[in-house]
Amino acid sequence: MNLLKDRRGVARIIEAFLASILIISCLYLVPISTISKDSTVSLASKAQNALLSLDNNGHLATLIDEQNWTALKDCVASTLPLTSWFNLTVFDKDMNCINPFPISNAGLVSDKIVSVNYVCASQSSTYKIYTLRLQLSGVGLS
Amino acid sequence: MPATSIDTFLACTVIITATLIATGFLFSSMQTSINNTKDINKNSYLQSIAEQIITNPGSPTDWGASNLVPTDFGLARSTSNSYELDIDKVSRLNSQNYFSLRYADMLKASKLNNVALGISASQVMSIIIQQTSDDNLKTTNSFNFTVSTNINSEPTNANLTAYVFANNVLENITADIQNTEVGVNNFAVQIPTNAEDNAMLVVFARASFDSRITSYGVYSFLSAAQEIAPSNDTLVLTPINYTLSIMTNLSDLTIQNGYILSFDHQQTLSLPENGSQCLIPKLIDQSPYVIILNGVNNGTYVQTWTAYPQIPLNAGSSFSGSEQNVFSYTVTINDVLYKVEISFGDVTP
Repeated sequence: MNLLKDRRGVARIIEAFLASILIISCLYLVPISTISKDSTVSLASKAQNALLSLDNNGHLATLIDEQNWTALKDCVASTLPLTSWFNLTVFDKDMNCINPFPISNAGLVSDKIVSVNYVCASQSSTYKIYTLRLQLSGVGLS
Repeated sequence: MPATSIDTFLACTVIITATLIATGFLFSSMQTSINNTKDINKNSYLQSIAEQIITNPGSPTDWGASNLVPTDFGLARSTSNSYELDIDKVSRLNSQNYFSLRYADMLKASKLNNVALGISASQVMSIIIQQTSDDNLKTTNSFNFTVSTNINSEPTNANLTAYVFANNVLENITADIQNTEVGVNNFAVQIPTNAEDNAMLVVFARASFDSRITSYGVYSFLSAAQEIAPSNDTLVLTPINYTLSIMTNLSDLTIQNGYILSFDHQQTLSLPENGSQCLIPKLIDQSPYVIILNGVNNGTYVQTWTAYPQIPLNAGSSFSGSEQNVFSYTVTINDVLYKVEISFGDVTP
């Protein structure tokens, strides 16, 4: 009867369970994996490469001068993989957006977006300066 | 044994088990984090090497123009804009080039000791040439072709130029091309029946939105298929430094004529009487060149072709069954856009 009435041992087991739950729940605070900083660096490098290659001989500025937004979109799309999303915004020297509609390919494919700014100058006699902001996101891009 | 001791023992067992599980989980989490950090370091290290190869002309800066082996590997043009590659350095990566750079030399010049290296280059716009039907007549055969153009597998509108070369005669058939839908063009070609074994169709396509996206495709009537690389190994052409070297193992071969073709131009090559080299004219055209050469060996026509730059190409390691870290770039070569991929194997410490 004394054995059944002694509740101290049961209390220890309950304490132990509570302690175990506390220890295991602490593990949720440990980040499982860090977000790879490198993939954003690669995306930025890819965006920079696309803009620099396309602007060879001032081609991008010529398309902006002509307001040929469709060709500008096709140019950017041709240099990027199919699994990527991009949004290009063109600003004038006062940072006013001058493209009348979004220059973008599809829906956003990832919540990790990089943004690269690129300045180009018109080859015409008016010598306009444009700032291009290319936002890029992608699945499995390296 | 008192009940409290049993309970204490059980409680301790539960606590110790929970601690062991937690420690194990923590260890695996930390291991994942350590591996991620290693991968970040490896990726940025390899990316720096890839950037160096693409943006650096190497040493000597004109190593592509001759059969020199570079001491420092780089593919950029010596006086170049960003991401502008040298036509000869890229061509020397092609295994069909007589002066092609050996893999061991490429690794040594890249200063890579324990890392596999692979480089591939391709046209931005793909051309697919398909023969859809043929009509056999008495003296000539008529072949119907469909040419599809796409970028990243998406049909792309393009303007086409097409040449047919048969029995030593070159004909421009661009006027016969009909655009039927986005990225699809149809045309017919008439070939003399006795010329089918040596006839060749060369098609250039230029994207309607950017003239720098110009690609070529070559169709062989003999194999009834599109050729990625010249299939004739008895007559091999190597373009380097705007000079065409002609190598053959046919003792009775007489070179009759040669042409250089681009999207906007065609020109006859000035072939030397008995020499094995001739100059390649510099055409003012945002287009790859296709050079075709025709000769006669014991009364039989022999033909071959090559592209300048010699793209598509795959150089270096094939990475079969091993880790491959790929870095892709859009580059310009002679004002034409191409895609280049630089791959590395795993970094072993």
